[in-house]
Amino acid sequence: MLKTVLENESRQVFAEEQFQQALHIYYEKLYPFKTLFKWLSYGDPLYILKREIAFTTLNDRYIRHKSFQSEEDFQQYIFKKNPAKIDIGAVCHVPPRDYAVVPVCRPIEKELVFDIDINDYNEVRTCCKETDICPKCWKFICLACKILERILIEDFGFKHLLWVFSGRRGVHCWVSDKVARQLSNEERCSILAYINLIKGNTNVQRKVHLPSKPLHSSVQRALEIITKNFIDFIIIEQDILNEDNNGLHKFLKLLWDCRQNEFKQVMSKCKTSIERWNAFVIHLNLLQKSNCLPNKLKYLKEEIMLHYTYPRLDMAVTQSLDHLLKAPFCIHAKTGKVCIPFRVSDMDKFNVIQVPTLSVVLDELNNYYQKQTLNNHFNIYKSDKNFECNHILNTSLCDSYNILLNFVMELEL
Amino acid sequence: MDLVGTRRKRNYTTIISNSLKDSYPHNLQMYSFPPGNEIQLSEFEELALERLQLFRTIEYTTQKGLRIYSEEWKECVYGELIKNELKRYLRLAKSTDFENPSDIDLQARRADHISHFILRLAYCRTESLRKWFLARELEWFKLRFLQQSPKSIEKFLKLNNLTYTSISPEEKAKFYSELSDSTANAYAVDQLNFYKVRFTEVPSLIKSRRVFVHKGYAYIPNFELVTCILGIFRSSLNEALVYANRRLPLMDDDRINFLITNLHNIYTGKDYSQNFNSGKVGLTSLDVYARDHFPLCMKYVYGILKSTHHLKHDCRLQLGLFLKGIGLTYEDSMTFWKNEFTKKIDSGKFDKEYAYNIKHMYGLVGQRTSYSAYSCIKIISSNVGVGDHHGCPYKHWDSVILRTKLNELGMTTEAVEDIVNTASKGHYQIACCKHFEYIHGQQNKVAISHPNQYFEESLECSKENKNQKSQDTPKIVKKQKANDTTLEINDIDWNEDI
Ligand code: SF4
Ligand SMILES: [Zn+2]
Repeated sequence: MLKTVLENESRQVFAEEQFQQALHIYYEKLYPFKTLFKWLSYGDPLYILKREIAFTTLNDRYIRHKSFQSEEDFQQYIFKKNPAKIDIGAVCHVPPRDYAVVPVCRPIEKELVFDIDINDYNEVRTCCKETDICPKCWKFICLACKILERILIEDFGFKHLLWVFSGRRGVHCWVSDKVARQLSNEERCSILAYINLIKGNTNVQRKVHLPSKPLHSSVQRALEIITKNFIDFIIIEQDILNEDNNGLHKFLKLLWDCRQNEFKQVMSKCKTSIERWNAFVIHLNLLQKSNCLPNKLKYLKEEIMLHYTYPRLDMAVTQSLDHLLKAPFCIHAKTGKVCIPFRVSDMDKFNVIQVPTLSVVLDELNNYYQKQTLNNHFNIYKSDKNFECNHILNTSLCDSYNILLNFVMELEL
Repeated sequence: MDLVGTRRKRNYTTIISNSLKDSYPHNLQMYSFPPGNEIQLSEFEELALERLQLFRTIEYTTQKGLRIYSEEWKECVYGELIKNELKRYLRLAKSTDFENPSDIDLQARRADHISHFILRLAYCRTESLRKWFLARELEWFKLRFLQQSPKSIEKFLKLNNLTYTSISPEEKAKFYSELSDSTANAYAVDQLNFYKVRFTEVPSLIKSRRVFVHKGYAYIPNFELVTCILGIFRSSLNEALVYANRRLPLMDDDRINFLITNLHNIYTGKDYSQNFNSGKVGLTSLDVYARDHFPLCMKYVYGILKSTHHLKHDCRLQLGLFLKGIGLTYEDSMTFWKNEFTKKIDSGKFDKEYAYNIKHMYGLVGQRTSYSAYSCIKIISSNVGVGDHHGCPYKHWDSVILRTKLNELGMTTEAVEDIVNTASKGHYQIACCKHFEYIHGQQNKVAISHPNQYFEESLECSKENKNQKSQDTPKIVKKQKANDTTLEINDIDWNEDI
């Protein structure tokens, strides 16, 4: 079966039933159940038994409140259901699979999770629209991850972070330290509020407002990170002060409370984005030096820089224990991309366009088998115990798999 | 529970009543031990009602929009306490010191102690009662803590075995600039003592980015100590309430049971979780109601739904629960949402992705709790992200936009300026109240604390145009001293081990 499927698909996109078959092979041969299961149980079989796992089937049904006793159970269930998506939920006070018997299933613990999505950058990016993403705007995500990671590690002292590409246009972060897992909803909210600087809905122009006292050290550090990239990335590459892409207009709107027209004149005299930015900075300095501006505009420049680049988090995901989040190594239903773990330190090399897809990894697997068969008549249908390690290492998922493995090892279960 | 003479003995710590001075060495208490004296049933009732009135006063003052713990706010609380003849609490509220208490002081401490335990019983029974009670207790505690002299605080910490060690001079030197930049209101770091506590102990300081945080520890200056103490008070009281709730069925004295089960009814207003009004509002009248009687937060979201045929999750909850609160039945609600959403998506998708949500709001699936409509405080303090529409307009919108939107609603320039001004000073609910007054053209003088309340008041106003009601702090009707049976307070299952 494997052969027929793979022979048919030199195309990127599968036909529906082919996708089904391919997914099945992926789960059977490549999906890292063992490591995933080890992670989610944290060395305690009871812990995973009380963990809610949810599934979306291929015909779009949503199955909630599942939980599993053993890795085999979990694996068998997935082989049987062949789900389009696996979601990980909270650890509850009773096993959620008894849901029918015990109607109230109270979430007790869960990793602290974050979700950053390029959608939330629509008002600041100029290269793409809506759900599109390209290497240029991926940089917004990179910058956000770098800032967020340092807050989590340096301020909150967390050690166990797993970063995962969400399959299309964003990333997830799973903070798995014991302290993090045991946070109450209220504590989660307080961490979120500490991190978040982007405030206000569609009815607020400039989404960052800093108090006029000295800047908090965490904000200072974010600004240091941003300053390194701001000119090259935001001003030049995103070209945010261009008139044609509506950038200048949007920028001036941010100055609604600060001499908008004056700045408009000053900036319109220049041609390029970089000249305009410099003109803005110089003029602002001038106004500030001569005490022309109210105190609450003391950090106007910083506020604007943060407005363009500070992490824009999906609040709902982080806030509550109830929220489910897609498991690593799932296949994104629309893009076919694998939700691979990555390291923030290597993120500049992460190419969002070239993330391996289901068809690519199955191709690689097939090539590998063919070689094997030629060499030593290896029977691909024979199931070997350590299948997960053996096979995934021979595809381009190898590095990502090692990241997951390392992350789980460091938890010292 | 039995009355005097036949009661079962239980062995727990009892405070011997010999000397009030020994029992109550400080104005501030953590209420770690249950009271142990005999008490008349009539006094029992009186104490309970007084504390309720105290809490109602505090809550009401905050709802008026005054910034909590500010001088204005305090004055207002004092005024109300005088008006309601709560002299003992007024004394406690104003005290700054613990030394040389007069007999009246000691009586006040005793009343504070006993009434706290009575309310514990009355308010341990449901999650929402516990929440309300906890919030008020914390406010009452903080109000007094902030007044204490340094010496008094020191004594309090010692009495309650609370110790904090400050960071070493080396550590302070190492983080000198971080501490001075990141500590809110710290003008001279050199003169401050810093304590290192786990960040989870001070969520409120973390939330507002008021302290330096490093490797999981919050560095708190001495003047923020109150936050730590409050945290401890909160978690021990929270535990005690859950515990008390479990022991409650063991209580079998009808008179007490009657009082404690009815206490909150005497008092608390509506919680808008049940749809008392169910069926009052039909689908056809919704548009008109939205135009005439919705507060701005709901009016706006309603408009967004009508024009874009979609709302995000938080937004759906804000509007959906409100609609449930004004009396939209479950069936109507489903029809309403479906009608809107299916202008953009097909109905299969709606059933799959959103129907569950609506059922959830009406407590038909999931944890099967019936959710209350959001109060102003909740809406005002909600996190709104990019692209969100929920929240309170007075808080979450720029003044320019607020101005534009109010103008669009056809308000006079003068009214608009007044409202925008009030909002930009941070008095969101007052701004909302002003908006109300400008629309209905009357000095309603009622504090807006809930969008559903706004709705109901608005409806009232239009119904009885002239016949306006003035509303003051709801008075608690004190019961007559009927049965003066002596009752030993030991008999009640106080939560002895906090
Ligand atoms: S004050 Fe309350 S009712 Fe008024 S707009 Fe804000 S949240 Fe709505
Ligand atoms: Zn792009």
